[in-house]
Amino acid sequence: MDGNSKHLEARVFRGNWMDGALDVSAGAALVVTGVFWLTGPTAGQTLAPVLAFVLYPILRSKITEPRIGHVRFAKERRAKLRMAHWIMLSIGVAALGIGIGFYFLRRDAADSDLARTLVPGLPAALVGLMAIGGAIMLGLSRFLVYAAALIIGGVVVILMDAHPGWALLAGGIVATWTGLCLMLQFVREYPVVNSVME
Amino acid sequence: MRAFPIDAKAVASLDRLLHEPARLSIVACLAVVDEADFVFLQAQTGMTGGNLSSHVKKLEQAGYITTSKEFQGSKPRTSFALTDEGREAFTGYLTSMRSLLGVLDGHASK
Repeated sequence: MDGNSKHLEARVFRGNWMDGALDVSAGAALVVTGVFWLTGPTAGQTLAPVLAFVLYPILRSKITEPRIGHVRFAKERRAKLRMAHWIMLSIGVAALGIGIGFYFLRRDAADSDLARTLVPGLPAALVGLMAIGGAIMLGLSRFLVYAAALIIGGVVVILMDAHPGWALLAGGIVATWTGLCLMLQFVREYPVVNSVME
Repeated sequence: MRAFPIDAKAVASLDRLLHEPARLSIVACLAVVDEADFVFLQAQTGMTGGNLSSHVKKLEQAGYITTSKEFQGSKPRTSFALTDEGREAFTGYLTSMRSLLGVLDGHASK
């Protein structure tokens, strides 16, 4: 591919993510996690990833594909996407590991220990790190805003010694709201078209 | 002295099937992806269904694109992909146009 083709391909790829479906799915998952964590039933938090995995394909098939259709990107792009998935999964596993590690550190630490102080902000900061990964790999700058909201939320939680669920809830609300606005704009801009070739 | 030092044969040899904005935009779209469906091409090119259908049929008849039909649940989906022949024709067209525009650009800047 020459420079112009690469530019066109990048534009088509970015356009494929302008429906807000990813933002709404990820944001809703964070909101659910935050709410369940704040209100007590921790088992409810396991719903969050399930919600994201179920909601995203539904939104794509019901809202996105009837409007902008379906595309299979070139091999090079699909390889990059696969790598992005693995990197995100690795960051997620690392985040989980660090979270568990800090949990035990906090449990065994004295009240004044740094670990005990920092732990409440950690979940939001780690999810923020995943959002930065998403922003880089998908070329979507708005994910940097979500990352900033999550990291700032984490810092505020640390400073106020508040519940970690608040930072996740705040980040989730920012992502869901932005996603819904994008989705509304997308639906207005692209009407449903007849998918059958005449 | 010639007003435009353009190779007339090169101009005449431009692929007329591709030298049409609607078909060129379809082929340009398909050149950067592996496969795209009918709705995707409509959204990218801004063409109506009927218009797009007539252009893809011409491209298919020339062997530049292949068409495949499948069902996504209960909905039919028609997908298109550029053939090797189509990719070659598109690359050749771009090369010819670049050289032609280069000559014109050079002449205009004098």
